[in-house]
Amino acid sequence: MNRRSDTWLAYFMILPVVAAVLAFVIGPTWDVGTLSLTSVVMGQERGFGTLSNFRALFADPVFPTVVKNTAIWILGGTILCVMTGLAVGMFLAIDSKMTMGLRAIILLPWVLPDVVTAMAWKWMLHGQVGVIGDYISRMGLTDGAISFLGNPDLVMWMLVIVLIWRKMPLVALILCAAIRSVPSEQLEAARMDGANGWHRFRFVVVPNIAFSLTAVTVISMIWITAEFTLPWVMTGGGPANSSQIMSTYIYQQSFQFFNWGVGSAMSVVNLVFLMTVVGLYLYINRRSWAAGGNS
Amino acid sequence: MKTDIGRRGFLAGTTALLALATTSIPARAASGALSVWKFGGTPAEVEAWPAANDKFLAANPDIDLNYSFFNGQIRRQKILAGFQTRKLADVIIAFGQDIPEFAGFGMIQPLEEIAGDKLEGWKDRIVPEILSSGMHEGKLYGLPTYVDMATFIAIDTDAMKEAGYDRPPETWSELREYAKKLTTADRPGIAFPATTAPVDINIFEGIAYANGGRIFDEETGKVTLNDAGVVGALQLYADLIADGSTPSGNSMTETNFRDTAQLFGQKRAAMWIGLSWLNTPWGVMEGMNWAGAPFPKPDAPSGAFPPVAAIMDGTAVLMVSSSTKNPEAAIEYLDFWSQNEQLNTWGGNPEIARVPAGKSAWSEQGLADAWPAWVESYNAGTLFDGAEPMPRFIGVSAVESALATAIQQVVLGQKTPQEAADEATEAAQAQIDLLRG
Amino acid sequence: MNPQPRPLYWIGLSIFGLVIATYVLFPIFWLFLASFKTTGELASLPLTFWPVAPTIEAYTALFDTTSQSSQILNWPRLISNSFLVSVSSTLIVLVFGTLAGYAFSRIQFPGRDLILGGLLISRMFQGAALLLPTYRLMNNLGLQDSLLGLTLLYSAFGLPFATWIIASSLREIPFELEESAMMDGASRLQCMVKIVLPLATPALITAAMWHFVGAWSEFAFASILMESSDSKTVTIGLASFVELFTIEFNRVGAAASLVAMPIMLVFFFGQRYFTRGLLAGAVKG
Repeated sequence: MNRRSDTWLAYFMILPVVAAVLAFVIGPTWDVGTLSLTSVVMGQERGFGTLSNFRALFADPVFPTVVKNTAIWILGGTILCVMTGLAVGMFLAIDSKMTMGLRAIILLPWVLPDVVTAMAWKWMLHGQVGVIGDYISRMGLTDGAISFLGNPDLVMWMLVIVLIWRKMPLVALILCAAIRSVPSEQLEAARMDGANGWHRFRFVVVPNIAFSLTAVTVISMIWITAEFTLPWVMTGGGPANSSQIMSTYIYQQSFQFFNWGVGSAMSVVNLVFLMTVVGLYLYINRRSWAAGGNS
Repeated sequence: MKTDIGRRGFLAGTTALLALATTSIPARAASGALSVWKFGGTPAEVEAWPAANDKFLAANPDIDLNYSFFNGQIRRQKILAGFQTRKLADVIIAFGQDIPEFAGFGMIQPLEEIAGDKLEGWKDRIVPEILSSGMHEGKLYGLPTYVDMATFIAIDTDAMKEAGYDRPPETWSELREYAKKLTTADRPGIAFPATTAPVDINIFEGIAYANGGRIFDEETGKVTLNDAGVVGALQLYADLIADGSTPSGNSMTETNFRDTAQLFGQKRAAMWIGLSWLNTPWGVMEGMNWAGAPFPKPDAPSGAFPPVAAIMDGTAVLMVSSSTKNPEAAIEYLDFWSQNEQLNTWGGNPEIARVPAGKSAWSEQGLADAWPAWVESYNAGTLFDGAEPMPRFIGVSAVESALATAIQQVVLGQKTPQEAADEATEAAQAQIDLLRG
Repeated sequence: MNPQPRPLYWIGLSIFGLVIATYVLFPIFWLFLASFKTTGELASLPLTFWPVAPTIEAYTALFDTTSQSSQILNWPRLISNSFLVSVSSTLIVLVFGTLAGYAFSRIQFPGRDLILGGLLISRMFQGAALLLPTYRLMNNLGLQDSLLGLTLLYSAFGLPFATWIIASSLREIPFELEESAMMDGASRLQCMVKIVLPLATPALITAAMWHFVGAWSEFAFASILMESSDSKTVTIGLASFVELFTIEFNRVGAAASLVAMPIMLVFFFGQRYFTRGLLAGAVKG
């Protein structure tokens, strides 16, 4: 069905999107790349073609902590987000009054601006004035309120919980939609064959929603990487750098310390890592996302 | 007129001058476009600033004032972005602590060359010690409108009397004793903020500087976070926690100055350590009696540097961009803010709670009502005795950030003060060397 | 999925539902309730759940036109600016996203999958580090402090994802309809507008709502690009407001409710289509 003119038409049709992305996204990214190879001294760019920013970065004693925290943030956040999203999505897929109601309002966390989300959660999680610690200790579960964001062992996971609160609803709704579109004949057939709940899930539902799972995993990962306001407003990287992640540290280096050469180097490291992970993921699952229109 | 004055000569010269009540009549009317960037501030200031701008416009109808207010958090990134694209505002209202970096990067210019005869008026009307906080390397780069001082302590006077004391603590050992005695089952004797917020770090720096500590030595270019003065102040934080007189260390690392003030105002801490304004912007529970006092002094200062009485910095210092095309209008705007009428904003309104820069503001009744002790010691000439500017040098943010990490490590009990300070020194030195090349 | 009606099963599910509902809704509800409390009540112990003496003071304070700060935080202005930027960038995204989505799903051309994957990955390039280069770029284009500039920027951020959603959805629409139309001599574009688009409406709505929410709540780039009070957007206002009144959660809650309201209205009316869009294969293989 393909004509030669169609190829040109296609290029013409995708041109605006590609041009916009090249201009507004790739252009600035290229800048960051060149800046990471430029030494910046006293606010002046002094000479391109140096690895000093990368050397400084790898010599920084805080950097390993940042890498570890970022791994929790991105990988832990993505996996937990998709898993809770899947559980909630399965639940929402059931027909009942309760799930109908929930489906209508579950997206509320998604539409609230980040600044508000961060402030509200910070307030609620505070050890002395926060409602969550207050209720937990009133129920007698703990002896006195816990400082969730002041505890270096807890803080990263608390941030992940808030992150999931914000991102999970959409994941759940997408997966719910996918689960509801699983052909009921297939489920019925499996039931007839005596498959239990787990087997029906594993061998009927999962293959049917594979594409959606791939999609939401990639989407969540991209979102979580770009997320900056939540951790920055909630903890500012503290206490003692125990919640310092790439995005907050890049911000700190560039705008607080005015070391934007190092900040750029860190962005490059961050991007390379992510592109590898996501690229690999997309490659492995290429069958399910690439738009094989004429197939 | 060129005025080249060293800091000491400047102080001596200006204090000798009589405080003249002046009304300024612009020598020549400035005109054209003037852009102004203001960052953050308390709600009362955010109200007061644009109200005064209207008066400025009325007096200078030929100036096209373009006033932009920004969220305080984006101050440095906004100024950096403006600098990189040569699109800085003509007048930037930022922190005194920013001056060395902004001046060093060439973002702002010394005012002496462009201020002309206005400079004399500024010296007449502004408290010399505060005006000198706008100076850097012997030149005036910023016109301060007020300063905040560190470090102070607020004390619940009812609780104090109950414990049998009739005055706030005056030494570190007294402080520990008070804190222990004021501690009850459901109320810690003292709380201090220990987040990464800049104010929380300034509060600590005030204690360390009074103990003869410094965070950086400009002469040698070395970070001095592991100086005995700083380590001693860290030890004080550690001791207060070890005494059981504070909320848990975990809690303090998530509780910033505002939250701490709120806890104090709710009678959930008998004392708290803060900047000069203490609880005034936010208030306390009805019927609660409290007093502010300078933070207790170390029994024997342990640092290698001279102990200071207090450190101070303005967070609304007017600076002129080095790329401005309209220096006349910019100076006119600075001069407008140097007038008594404007500077009295910080004298009459107790909600604002800053240490006013205008001499005439000190005779305002509002200030005397809100801060009798300040006015008393100002009139006695002792308020600024031994007061120094807050740390300011190229790379100050990086060093303060390393210090914040050290404070938090000590407060959490992860490291001893010495270990934390040593590590912070090393980390901060690397950052500084990188920045300075 | 129709599970057998076993009581234990239902009790378990109900508990799970309650836990989820609490997790998702409690923070929002708590902030919303706070907006009706007095500052004194918020500061007092023990914490109260329902407002003791409900008041709308916090809301009226937002629109107090006598105060100077209401000129800086001029909510009607902030909201209309955000609305303008969000709606116009959504339109741009829809038009060009549909064009590209059609090409990606209907036409076989060299480099197709590679370009689509590249577009998707580019969505990641958005961290704090891009703030300065983006500012420089916008400045060079003369588009800083301009609502048009922000609209174009948001469109560029939103396009790859919208394209992907639309492309995935178009794949689901049978090709035969178009084939027969093309046999009858209709052009590609005619086919697209007359046959494919009507069928893809739910996906378009999904993409639109998705982009709208993102544009409405974007903060970092807006905060550095917008200078004058006339051009600021609602999240900038909200951030300044939060900074000013950090411990007065009634006012923060009121401002947040105000900002969230328009978008909730959009969702209230668009919810059915949104879910339908997802169901219709927007993100299904």
